[in-house]
Amino acid sequence: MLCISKRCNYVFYLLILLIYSFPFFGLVCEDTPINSELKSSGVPVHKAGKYLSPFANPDYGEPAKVRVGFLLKSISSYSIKEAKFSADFYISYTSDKPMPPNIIPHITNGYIEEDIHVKIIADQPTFKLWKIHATCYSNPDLRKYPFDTQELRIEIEEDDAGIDQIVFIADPKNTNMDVDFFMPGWEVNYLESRTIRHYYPDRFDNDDLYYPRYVFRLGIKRYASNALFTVYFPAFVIMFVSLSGIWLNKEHLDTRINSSAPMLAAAVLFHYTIVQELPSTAYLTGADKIMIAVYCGLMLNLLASWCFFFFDEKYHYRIYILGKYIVPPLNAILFLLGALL
Amino acid sequence: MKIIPYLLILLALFCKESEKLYETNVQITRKDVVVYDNDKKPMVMDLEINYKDCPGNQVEVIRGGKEFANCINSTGKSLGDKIHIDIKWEWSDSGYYKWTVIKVDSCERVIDPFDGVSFDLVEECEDYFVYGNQIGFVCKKIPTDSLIKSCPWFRKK
Repeated sequence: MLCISKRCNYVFYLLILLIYSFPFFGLVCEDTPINSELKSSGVPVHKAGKYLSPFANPDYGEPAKVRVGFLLKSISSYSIKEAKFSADFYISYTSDKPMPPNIIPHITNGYIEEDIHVKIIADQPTFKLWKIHATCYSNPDLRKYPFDTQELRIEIEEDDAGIDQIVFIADPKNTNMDVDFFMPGWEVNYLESRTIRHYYPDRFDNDDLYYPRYVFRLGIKRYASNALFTVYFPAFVIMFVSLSGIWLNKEHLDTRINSSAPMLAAAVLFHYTIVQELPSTAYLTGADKIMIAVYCGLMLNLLASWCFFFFDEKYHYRIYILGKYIVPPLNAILFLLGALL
Repeated sequence: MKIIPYLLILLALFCKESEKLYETNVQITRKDVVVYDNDKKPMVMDLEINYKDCPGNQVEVIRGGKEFANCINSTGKSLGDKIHIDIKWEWSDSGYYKWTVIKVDSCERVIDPFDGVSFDLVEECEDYFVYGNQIGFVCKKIPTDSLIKSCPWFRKK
């Protein structure tokens, strides 16, 4: 009897275990009906239509084709270091059929600080116009700095209406910059407008809806003259002053060394000033390359003077002549390499 | 003496080209009287012109005063008509070359130094494709070589 009752206990425990492990079987076996109920638990699901997402609207019919117009009024507070800028712009939606209710542009690569920074100018079922002041982020590309072209992006998305309700179309006729648009130190290189269908990695169960996103890009180019005079010209002067001692002979060795050594400090300080304005990068900027060339040139000039200490006096005249005719062209080659590579 | 060529090269960098005059035909795309005087006669006029002979989409809005407005009206030209213009191309203190429409047909245009309304829209646009699907467009704002070749007054550098 004891044995039978023990067996009963085992059977009872086994049954309990089976009952409690049912949900776990469900997670593994994808096709079981219980699984679909589990997946939808808590999150509403649309059984009809192409998308299961709770933000889908299978009853909407054909999506509204929304032409997006954009007028960039101004860009302010552009900081390359923080990869941030503020933009004032108008954006219009014009559609062929009434748009879903309560749509409003959301900035995906930035934020709108306060509600008053979004002004609704027109709010009709087929036409909407907003004036927005937003802060946006755009990663800078400094590979060619100071001859760099930066891209300022403003990305706008409808985050509760998917492509089953709205499809964005970039409108070339109504995409412009304001007539007095001006960015000090920069010239506008290009403007670009595109629409994409954005898909998010799952944020909740059945997050399968694509969302319409409008991307406005403004390509801005630093003025070449500004780049030349703020980076290349000072670097050239540092190298040139350092080189001036190379024409002095051994009798003026102190002056010769003194023309190069302080320039090394000047170069480091100048480089430090440039770097302060830029974010850290994993690559060398154009300015870094020219400064490396300057450091090498300065080291070469110092080495040409130190040779007087390293070699016997009978070679000194030869060192002087070699330094005079070889070091300046080498400096020029280094500078060119730094500028062109 | 050896330094003279280098000095000449350096000086050449600071030299600017002298002003030039160009002529072309444009299409009138808008003609609006902005302000009327007390006698209901045009006092300020906006004329939007499209450089149809240049590649891309080059639009310019030029504002003129009373005499200019009356003269334009007397030419009998209306929207869509082609009209002859004279352009002056010169160096600007802003650090680049600029062009100014100085004559439209037979109408001299005297520019008010405080005119902040005239503007130009120089761009060459093309559609943007990804995997063969058109998703937008890109407009180049810096005049391209092809544009400068056919319409040299757009050169800024």
